[in-house]
Amino acid sequence: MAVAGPRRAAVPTPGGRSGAGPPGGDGTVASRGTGTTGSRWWWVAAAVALAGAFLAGSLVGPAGLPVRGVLLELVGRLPLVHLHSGLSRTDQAILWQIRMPRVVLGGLVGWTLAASGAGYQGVFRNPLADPYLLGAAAGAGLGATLMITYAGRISGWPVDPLPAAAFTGAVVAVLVSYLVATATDRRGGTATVLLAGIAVAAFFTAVQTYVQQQHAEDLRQVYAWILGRLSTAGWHDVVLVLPYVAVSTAVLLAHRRLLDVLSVGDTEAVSLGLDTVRTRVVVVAAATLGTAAVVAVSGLIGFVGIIVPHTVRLVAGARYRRVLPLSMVVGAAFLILADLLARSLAAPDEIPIGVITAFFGAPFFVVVLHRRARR
Amino acid sequence: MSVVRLEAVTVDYGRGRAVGPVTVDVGAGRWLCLIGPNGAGKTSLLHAVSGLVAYGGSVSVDGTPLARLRPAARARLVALVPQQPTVPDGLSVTDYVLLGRNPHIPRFGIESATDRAVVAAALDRLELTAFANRHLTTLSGGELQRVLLARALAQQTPVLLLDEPTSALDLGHQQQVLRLVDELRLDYGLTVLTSMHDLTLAGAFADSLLLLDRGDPVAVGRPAEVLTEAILARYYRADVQVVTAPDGTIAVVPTLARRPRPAGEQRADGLGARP
Repeated sequence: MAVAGPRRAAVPTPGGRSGAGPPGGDGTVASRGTGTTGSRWWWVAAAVALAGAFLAGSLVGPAGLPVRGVLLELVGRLPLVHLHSGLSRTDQAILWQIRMPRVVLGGLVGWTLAASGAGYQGVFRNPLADPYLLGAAAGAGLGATLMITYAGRISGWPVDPLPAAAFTGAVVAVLVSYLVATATDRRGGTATVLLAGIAVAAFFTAVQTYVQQQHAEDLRQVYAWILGRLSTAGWHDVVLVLPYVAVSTAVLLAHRRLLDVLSVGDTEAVSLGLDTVRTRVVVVAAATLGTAAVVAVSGLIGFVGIIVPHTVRLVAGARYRRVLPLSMVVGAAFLILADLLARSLAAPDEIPIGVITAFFGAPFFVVVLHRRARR
Repeated sequence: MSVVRLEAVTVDYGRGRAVGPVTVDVGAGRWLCLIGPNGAGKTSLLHAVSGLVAYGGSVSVDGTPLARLRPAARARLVALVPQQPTVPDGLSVTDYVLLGRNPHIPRFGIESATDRAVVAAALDRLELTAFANRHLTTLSGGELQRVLLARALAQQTPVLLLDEPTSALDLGHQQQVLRLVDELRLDYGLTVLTSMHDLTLAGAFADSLLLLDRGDPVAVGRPAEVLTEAILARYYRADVQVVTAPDGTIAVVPTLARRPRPAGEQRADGLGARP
């Protein structure tokens, strides 16, 4: 049978990016479809939320700093602006050494946990995935517990040993999960990795609980760490996590389009030219690095990594290229506000921030789900 | 137009050989259809060609062995329309077709105006422009099949693989989709490999057929050479009649032989409905 030559070449030549321009292909349809018009508003909303949370976090506190003074002080720190805020030296110290590091750290923690959660949900194509899925929380918990119970009384550490122990524990746990999974299933299927994570998390938690019970005198301290807190935050904590957060953020953002490709499943993603195994390993590594770093300074703050990406997804669409960066901004705003509530509601006492994220986050999430279902 | 060459291709899932060795050439711009009973290895062979499973032997497009290529380079040569696609939640038709541009977009890049133009052209070609902003989950089976074709077209590959493209469609949509594939083949000079269950449709559209039986290639050739009553009876274990219409179309008709049985004769093993 004779095969006719191409009757028309509407689509550019195979394999070439820059073939002849297809008729009618001016991109108008496609750009409407990718929703660029709506996305700008989500960005504005998220930025406003973050700015609002940041201001609220700086303005509210037990010291009762004057609102006008704080605002002038903040504006005065902007480049090329010279203002006298009228704040006393003590007030300035409270603002810059107590409130601001706490707000900034809260923002970084929320930013990272939400981004890592979105990353985990993307690579495992599982809506229930969160940053603690592969044992990061259990590992950090064990590391911190061991440090508090066995090494807490040793002084003269060159660096604060508690974050280092928690960070190491988290990274080791995820690494063990991945090694167990790939030893069982060479291709590292998602189900195998998830189940290995559950097994490793259970094991680390068992050891942690045992150690904790054996040292009842440290129970309160261990428990406080596990529930998460930002109360001791200082600029040194911010400096400690910033490099990890920066690397994790950069890697996750670089993969945001690839997470959309992965959403069609491994088989189809491979046929679309994606190296699925490499993508999964890199995203998990970046998300784990960020999570381990923020958990090391803040303890285990739950719920952020699952509720924030889902809320973003429900209101702004399912594509990771939008969900991932928006989750970062919304996560930061959410955690700053949660911390504000944690330190204000029962002042002068503090409520553990993990209690706040779940107590206010869960009903809010239900409302979002409900509105989505009615649409 | 590109020649696809399979040389001694075998697929082995670790439970003994699943397929092969298969050696076959698909001429440039031709259409080869894999046929065979369930479990014959049609999908395995298509997955080997698209690099989804490890395989022995060699698959090459215009002399380039696919095994040596990175995933993206291979996906610029071969596109696959899967039998049961994963339909992600919340993606619009445009978003989904844009995924077909992945092998052309730098790993950490974002689609260019060219990519968006190709997607728009693919939607236009498959008359999907009105569906551009619809969510995938709201489409019918026939519409979804066209969207899958658009995604494969957006990949701009010289080789198009379709795994059972008609299995989920009614009679009319089956013909529409296959006609569309044939038009695309002629429009863009595509070399097409499909697997199909409907032998009449396979014979009507493909240039040549490859019959697989439990992984072994048992017959290859033009439809008239493969679709014979003797071959089909032997490998499908089915009673069929092969009818050739005056225009040369081959119809494979099952001979519907209901076995006669005296009225009232029923089994008494207790499995029947209780009176």
